[in-house]
Amino acid sequence: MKTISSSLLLLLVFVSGNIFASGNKDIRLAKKIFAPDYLNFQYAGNLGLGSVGIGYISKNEKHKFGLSYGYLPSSVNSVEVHTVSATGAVNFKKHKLSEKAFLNGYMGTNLLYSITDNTYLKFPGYFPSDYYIANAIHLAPFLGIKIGSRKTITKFSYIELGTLDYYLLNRIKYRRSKFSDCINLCMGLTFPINDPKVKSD
Amino acid sequence: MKTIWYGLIAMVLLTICSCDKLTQYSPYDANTEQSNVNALNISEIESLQLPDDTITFIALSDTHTKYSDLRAAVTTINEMEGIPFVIVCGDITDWGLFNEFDDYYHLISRLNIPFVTLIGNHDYLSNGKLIFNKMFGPTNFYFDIGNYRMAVFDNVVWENGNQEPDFNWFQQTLNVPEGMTSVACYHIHRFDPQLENGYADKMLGIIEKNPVSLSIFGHGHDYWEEEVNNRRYLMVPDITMRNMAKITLANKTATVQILNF
Repeated sequence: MKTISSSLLLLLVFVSGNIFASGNKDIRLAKKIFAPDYLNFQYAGNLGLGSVGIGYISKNEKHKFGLSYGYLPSSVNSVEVHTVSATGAVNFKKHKLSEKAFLNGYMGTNLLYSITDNTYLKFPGYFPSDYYIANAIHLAPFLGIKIGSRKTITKFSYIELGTLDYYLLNRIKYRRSKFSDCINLCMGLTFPINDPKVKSD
Repeated sequence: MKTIWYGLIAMVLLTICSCDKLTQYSPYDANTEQSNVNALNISEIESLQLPDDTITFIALSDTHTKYSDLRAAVTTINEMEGIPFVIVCGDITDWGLFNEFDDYYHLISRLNIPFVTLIGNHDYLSNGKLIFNKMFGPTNFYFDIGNYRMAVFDNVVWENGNQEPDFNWFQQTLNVPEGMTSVACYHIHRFDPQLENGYADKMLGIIEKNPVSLSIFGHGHDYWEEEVNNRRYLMVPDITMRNMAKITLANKTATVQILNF
C-alpha cells in the first residue's frame, strides 16, 4: 500500500507542479525539466481494469517514458490487484495521415510491479531462501500505434498489442496451444499537461 | 509507406477479430471461464458401474507448463482401454496464473475420460487458490467408486500462508464405512520441509489409523514406492519423465505399474 500511496503522491506532485506553477523563473525551469508532457488513461493491458499515468516525450520525439498506476477491483473477477508500472518506448517513423493527423508506430516495454495475494518481491521468512524467484515483477513488452493531432505530439489515442515476459517464454519453450492466448490488447488516451510541442515532421 | 501502415492496421484488426480473450486486465486476474470442473467429472466417475471389485486409473503429476508432455500423456491415455478416470496430483501451473490454469484445462479436457485435479504448492501462488476454487472447486474433497474412497487432501503449508492442513477433515474422510478402503491423494510428500512441525507425522498417523490401500502424491519430481507400517506410498513421477502410474485396486490391494509414453 505504501508503494501505491507514494506513486500517487509523486503523480500528484508532478501534475500539480505543472498546473499551479507560478511565473518564477526557477519554477518554470524545473517545470520544463520535470513536469510530464502528458497525462494518460488506459483501459486493460496488464495494468488493471484502468490505469492513470504520466508520460514524457524526448526532445527528438523518438522516445517516450512513463509511470502509471493501475487498479483491478475485486468486483470484476474477485481479485484485487494494484499495479505500478514504468514504461519505455521507441517511436518508429511518424506517418502523416492527413493535414491534421499523424499516425505513429512504436514498441517498448512496461516494467510491472503488482500487489495482490501470494505475490512477492521477497517471499516471507518461512520459505527457504531462493525457493521461488520474485513473482510480483514482470516485463510486459508491447507494440503500439498512436493517432494524434499534428499540432501537438502529446495528445493522442493509442492501441497496444502486449504480452508478458513469462507468456512469451512459455510460448517459445513449450509451444502453447494458441499464440493469441499470450497476447492482449489495450487502448488509451493522452492529454497534454505541459506546453504543447509543435510537431516537427 | 502508406501500404505498410494499412497492413499494420489490418493486422491489428485481424488480431482483434481472432482473439477470444482480447483484453487482459492483469496476469494475476482470476478470469476463468470454467467452473466446478472436478464436481462435473466426479459425477461422471461415480455413475460408472463396476463389474467387480476391480478398478484401474491413471495418475499424473507435476504437469506445470510442460504442455508437450501433457499433450503426449493425453494422447497415450486416449488410446488405452479400460481406464475409467485420471487423477492429476497437483502443480498444474508454475505461478498460479489464470492463463496457466486455462492452458492446462484446454489440454487435459481433451481426455476421453473424466479427470480429477489436486492443488499443488505452485498452484497456490498469486491468486491461484482462488482460481482453483473457481475452476475446479474445493481443495479438500473425496469421491466414492465401488468400495473405494478417493480422498483428495490439500496439504500445502507455506503457500497457504503457513497454515496447518485440515487434518480433522482428513481423519473424518478416511474413516470410511466398513467394507470400504481409501486411496489418499495429496501433493506434498512426507519428507518435504513444509510438513515439518509434526505435520508429516500427523498425516501418517491418520493414514495408519484408517484403512488406506495406497497413498499417492507428487511434488518430488521423481518416482518411488515404499511401505511404512503396513501402508503403501507412491510418488507419482513428474510428467517430464514421460512416465505415468497405472494403479489397479482389487480386493483392497493396489498394484502399481509405471508406464512410459
